[in-house]
Amino acid sequence: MKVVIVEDDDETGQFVERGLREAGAMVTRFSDARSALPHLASTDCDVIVFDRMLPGMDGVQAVRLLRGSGVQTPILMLTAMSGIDDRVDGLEAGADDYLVKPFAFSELHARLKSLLRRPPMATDASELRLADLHLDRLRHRAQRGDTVLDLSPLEFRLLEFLMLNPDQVVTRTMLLEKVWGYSFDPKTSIVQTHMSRLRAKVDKPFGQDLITTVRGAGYVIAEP
Amino acid sequence: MSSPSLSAVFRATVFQLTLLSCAAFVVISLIILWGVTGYYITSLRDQVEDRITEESAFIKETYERDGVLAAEQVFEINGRLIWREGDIYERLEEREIVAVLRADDDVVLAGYPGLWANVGWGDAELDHDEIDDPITTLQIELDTDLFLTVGLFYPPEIWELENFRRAAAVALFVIVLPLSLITGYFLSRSVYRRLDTLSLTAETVASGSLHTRAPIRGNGDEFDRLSEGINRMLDRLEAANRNIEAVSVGVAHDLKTPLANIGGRLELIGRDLGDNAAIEAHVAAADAHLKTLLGTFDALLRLGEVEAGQRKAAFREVDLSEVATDLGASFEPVFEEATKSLDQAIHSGIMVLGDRDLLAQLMSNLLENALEHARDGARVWIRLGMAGGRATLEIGDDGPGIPAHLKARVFERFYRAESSRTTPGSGLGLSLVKAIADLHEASLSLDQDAPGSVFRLIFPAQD
Repeated sequence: MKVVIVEDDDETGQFVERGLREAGAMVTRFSDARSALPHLASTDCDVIVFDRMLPGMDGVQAVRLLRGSGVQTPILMLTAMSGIDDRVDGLEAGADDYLVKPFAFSELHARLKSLLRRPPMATDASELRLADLHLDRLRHRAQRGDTVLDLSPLEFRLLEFLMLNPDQVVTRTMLLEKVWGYSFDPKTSIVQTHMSRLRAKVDKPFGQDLITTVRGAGYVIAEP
Repeated sequence: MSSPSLSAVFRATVFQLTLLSCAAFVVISLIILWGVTGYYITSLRDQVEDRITEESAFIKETYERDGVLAAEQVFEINGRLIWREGDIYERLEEREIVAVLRADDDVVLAGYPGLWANVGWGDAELDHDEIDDPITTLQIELDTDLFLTVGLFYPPEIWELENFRRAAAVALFVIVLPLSLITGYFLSRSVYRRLDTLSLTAETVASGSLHTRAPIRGNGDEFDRLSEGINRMLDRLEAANRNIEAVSVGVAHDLKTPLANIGGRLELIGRDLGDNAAIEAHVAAADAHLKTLLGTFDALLRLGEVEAGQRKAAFREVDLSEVATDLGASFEPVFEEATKSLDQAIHSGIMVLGDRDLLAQLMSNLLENALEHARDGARVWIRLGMAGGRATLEIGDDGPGIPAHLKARVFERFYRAESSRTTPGSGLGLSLVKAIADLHEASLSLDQDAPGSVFRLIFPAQD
């Protein structure tokens, strides 16, 4: 994975760079948009991490410029601002995802992986399959082997999201954003609670775990 | 209240404006008066001159056609050519022509000898014992050394008009101007006095006594409205000030405590170098403290964002029933695991104008509050319905309830009942609930509902 990081804060830059190198990525780092843009226009990379507030040209402007010049590489924006409007600005400019500082490296990593996968499995497929797990999205029916699973609507949506992103770490915040549609973080462990209920229905009776917890990061659904 | 000084009143805007508008009124009145009377006077003069021109032309014609004797005959009154003083009374009465025909300067051939004038148009006075009314005259030379003078008394209307306009001008200057001065003085003095009390209030507040309020007369005039506005502003300021005190204490506690804990853990890591298991435990603990700290920060930022009110621009129709159902479903298992229950009675299709995300956070915070404070085994309930055309949301529990004297304070920032000082949570959750309710112009109350308490949120009626 080739990653370009544009981040003016050296501490954050180092933190992200080191994490990505350890995860086996090739990392190029810039500290402002003006020096990064020529490189981005001429060199291929897999994903770009852009800080939102940069000296000189800010991240939103730079992303708009990149998209305007036809660069299609997935972009993740980092920001210290957490207002909803800031989020919307970044996405409207052409960023694909948005992460609020401070963040855990595992969160950033999971999101970058998810961006690399884009487009994931055809998101409009009416059926999703993984091992002997079968999801009928039209009839809202989940089945493992021959057993029909009795899922609540929320559990169904959770499972659906996991199956749309197989073999990838899905974090708690990603689930809150995508399944619940909340941009706030409830103190209560609603994600964990529902996840454990889901796993109790999907995995426990069958003695073979499809969903696993990645400690400190999130959940993965994968073939056993 | 002290009487304002004279110079202060004269400097007042109201006074200057009153004076200025009165001066303008006087000037415009004078212009109109002069214009209208001038027009009438001119037209009256024109009539007089026409009459004189006509008469002199007739005499001149007679002279040129039939000679001087014929012309003299025109002047005949009561069989005489030369008029006497007595004849003039009748002429004046009837507003008839007075004329004289002279040869060689002072030989009167016919007419009234007491009429003297210069060549051309002019104004003259008759040489007469009793009559001294002014007269308009025209003198022409009929022939060498033969002068005809024709005159006509001014019509009395001209006099009347001129007198009228003189009197009116005097009245305007002598009566209206001083009157406006007096009106302006009293007007501005009363305005000045009321403004002075407001200034005094402002000064008092500025000097630090934030509880001072502007007096209100109660007649609902513009000053009362201004005072009410200022008082509301001061209420807000005072509340905000009180809040800041609470917030500083809260910030000290809720931000400094986790920071201190993180610092402590870092120190422990330094001491336990080499003991991986211990270090791992310290990192995990420090991480938990950091999360608490960030949670407080996020809540503070959110609160600021909500209170700034910008989110209002993005308000749209929100299906409150759907949001409530979703949250109910999300929290039910969490309540179960905490050995509490969550009953849901949600009417479908209830729409309000608002921000979906914030409304979800509001409900989530109320549910979390119930989760935190209701006793074990408590029954918590969420109800959503319409009451009197208003969407009404209730989240309540069956105990232990909140003591009455603390009810007013639960929405304050960083407020936490003393007993729960040690429980996790930022103490901002309910402040945020209040701020979101305010943003939606919904009324929020915490009511006693034996044996527990209930948060009741009533949205404004939709049209």
